[in-house]
Amino acid sequence: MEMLIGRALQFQSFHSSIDAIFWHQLSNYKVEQQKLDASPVAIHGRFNAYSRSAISIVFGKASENSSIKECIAEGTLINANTQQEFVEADVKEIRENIGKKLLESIEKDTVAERPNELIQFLLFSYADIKSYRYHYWCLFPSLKNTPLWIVKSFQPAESVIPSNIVSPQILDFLKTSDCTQRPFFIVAKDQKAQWLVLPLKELPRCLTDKLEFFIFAEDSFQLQEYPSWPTRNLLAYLSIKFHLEKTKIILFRDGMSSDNLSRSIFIDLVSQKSQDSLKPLSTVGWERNGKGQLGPKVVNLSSLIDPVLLSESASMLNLSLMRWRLVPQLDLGVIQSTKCLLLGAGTLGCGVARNLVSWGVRHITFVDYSKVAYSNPVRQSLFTFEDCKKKQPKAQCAAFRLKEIYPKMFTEGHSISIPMLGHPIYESDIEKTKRDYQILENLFLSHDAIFLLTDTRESRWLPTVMATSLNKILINSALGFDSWLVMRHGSLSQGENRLGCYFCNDVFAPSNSVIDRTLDQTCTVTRAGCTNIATAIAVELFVSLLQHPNGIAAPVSNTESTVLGELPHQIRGFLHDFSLLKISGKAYQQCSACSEYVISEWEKRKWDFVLQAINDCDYIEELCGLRLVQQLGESAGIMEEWDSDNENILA
Amino acid sequence: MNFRQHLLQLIPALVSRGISCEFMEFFEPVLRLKWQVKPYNDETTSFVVEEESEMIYVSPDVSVEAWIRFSPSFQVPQFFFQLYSEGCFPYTKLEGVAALLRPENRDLALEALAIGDCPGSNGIAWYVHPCCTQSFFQTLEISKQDTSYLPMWILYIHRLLSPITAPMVEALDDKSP
Repeated sequence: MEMLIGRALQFQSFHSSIDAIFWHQLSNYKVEQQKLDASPVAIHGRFNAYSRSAISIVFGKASENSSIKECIAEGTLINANTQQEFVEADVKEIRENIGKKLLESIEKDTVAERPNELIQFLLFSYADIKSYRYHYWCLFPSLKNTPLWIVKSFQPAESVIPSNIVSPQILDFLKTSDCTQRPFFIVAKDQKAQWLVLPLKELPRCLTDKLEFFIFAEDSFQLQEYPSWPTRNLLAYLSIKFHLEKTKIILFRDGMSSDNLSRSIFIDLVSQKSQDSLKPLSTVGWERNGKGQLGPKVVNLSSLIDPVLLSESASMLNLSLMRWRLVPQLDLGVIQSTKCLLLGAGTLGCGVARNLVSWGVRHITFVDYSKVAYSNPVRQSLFTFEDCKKKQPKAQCAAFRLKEIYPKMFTEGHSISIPMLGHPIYESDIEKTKRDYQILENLFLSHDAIFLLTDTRESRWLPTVMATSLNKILINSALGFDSWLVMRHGSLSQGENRLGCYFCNDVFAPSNSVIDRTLDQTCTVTRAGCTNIATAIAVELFVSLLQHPNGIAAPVSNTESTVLGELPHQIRGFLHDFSLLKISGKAYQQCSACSEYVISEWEKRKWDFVLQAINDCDYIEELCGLRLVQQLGESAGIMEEWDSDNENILA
Repeated sequence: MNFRQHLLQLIPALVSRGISCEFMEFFEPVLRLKWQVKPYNDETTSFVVEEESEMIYVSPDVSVEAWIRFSPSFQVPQFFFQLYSEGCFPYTKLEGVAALLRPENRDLALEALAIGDCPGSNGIAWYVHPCCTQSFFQTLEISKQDTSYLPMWILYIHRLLSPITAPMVEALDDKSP
């Protein structure tokens, strides 16, 4: 501290500390009461010896009989109604106005009764409530061009004041006096050498009676050797009002509950007029930003307050923590960025959608032709009773409901039908079906992964053809009464090791599975848990596939081929004995859906191929070679019968 | 002692260290705290303001707002907090919070931190997940009636969040015999 001796005292700036609660209260006040009125609003600031030059700004006035154990500074909030008003405000005029108020407090000596008038401050703001952005600038005014104060001595306060005698009196004074007295007070020795603690208004008496006295200034500091802003204004008061040329200050750094003065500092000061002292007084004090530059701050609190962003950060937190703590190599970005197309918005579709959202998928499109039925809500988690009453289309309703769950999602629903083998398209329906087909094809092109979640075998045929040709990830799930299947279709990029599709084990092309069926046979009747298990496993298989470096071309692996573990081809589960099978199979050269014969025809002729395939029931089987396989099979069966007859004769 | 009494008992020690305390009781007792602290990666800068030689600018410390409440599900105290840089910019990313902590604490802290609804205000706050606190109390075998129940728990929190929670521990040290 010896380096300070003989030098002019310098002061640390105060920093505003404003939390989300303040802005929330301001927003409420603005919306409910103030509206367009730009009148100043009362606020206050709190600081203490440990707050490291930070002053917490609190909305509203401090209560009169406050039990707050800190120094209170009274402040004014001026809130602009528009950003333009904020930007174009005359900040010089604002500064000079508050400077005038400060000077008036000093010259009229209202400071004597209310010492905390030396630390009045201003907050100028613009609250963009809708976007949770708050522009603000704090002003802690001081008067410039007052005389300098030269440091004669800088030492611990306990070297000049017996803290064992004085500290209890200080505590008593602070407890009994109101908050306006706390920032500045006097400790004096009377004529009988008794130590007294007096309010600042007793300063004239101390001067007149020539008492030995020290003026205490509550000091919140970061750097030990410099007092903070309140002391600067106190010294300005002593110069202007009392023309003091010397003074003894205690930087009170021990707090309102301390029983000693171990942290406090005594400084002995002598006033010195400088060249600037001849200039008129002016005001300084606009707060600097974190880089030390003059200018307002803009706070974006949407991540703390905006419900939409809250939902985003909170829902992603679980996944981030998963990656931080357990699976550091987990690629969450690839999951989030994958666009998923769900064909079917029923029990499977709702379940898959929910699980995808849990994993952070943010783009989901539904395709479903039907409307929400009264039997749906109990099993299909995205629909309600009201949706049934309003006969909501399932695809759009599911999309809307997902957005209610997570507002930042991109969701869409399309009520289109999927052309199906075995369901001929009549002349009158061709145009509409063609339009639906084109929408479907465009959806396939614009999405990365397809989930086949429809309720019939034949409805999965065309999507299989298209997904194989376009090399899209396809996850297929189907249900039985107490069994379920989840599988990933193979990819052309797997070459000769291409995994099979849903139809690769069939020797017949799919046909109409619902014709001449009763209600219980047309609806898929399943145990309730089947869907939940199947949809969970479908999404987990999908996420694991995304983690594999080869993606859709990943081979079957029964070991740790991804950070999440194995990567099977097909999983079949059975609830009656709670068992699970992992199966794999290669692509079938004569497959009715994924064989090269079928794929290449679709690629060449698109809609014309689809129309022919659906309206000509023999076309696909002949094209892919299944007709020949069937004929070979029939021949093998006849030959076996002949063999059996021989045995009987022999027997 | 009930939890309310534990909180009230804590206040004088915290206040003496300059931690702003506000006891709130709506549906449950909650103690709201505020303080400033130098973080681990402190890059404090200071310089003389050129326009007026009397002013020294010092870059601000981290502002901490904290809430202590009792978790009814886990039956342990729960510590919520918000951190602000430059007095106004909230830390909302886990990486940002971790960077303020001592390196040797970061792994422990990352295992224990989560985001949730702030008990004393609107919006969200970071919190130390109470399931980790449960394990701590099971190991310590300290009774809820013991006057050192909350102080011991604060030491546990400090182990995760040091140096951010240093003022609380210093306050308790000041008052210990």
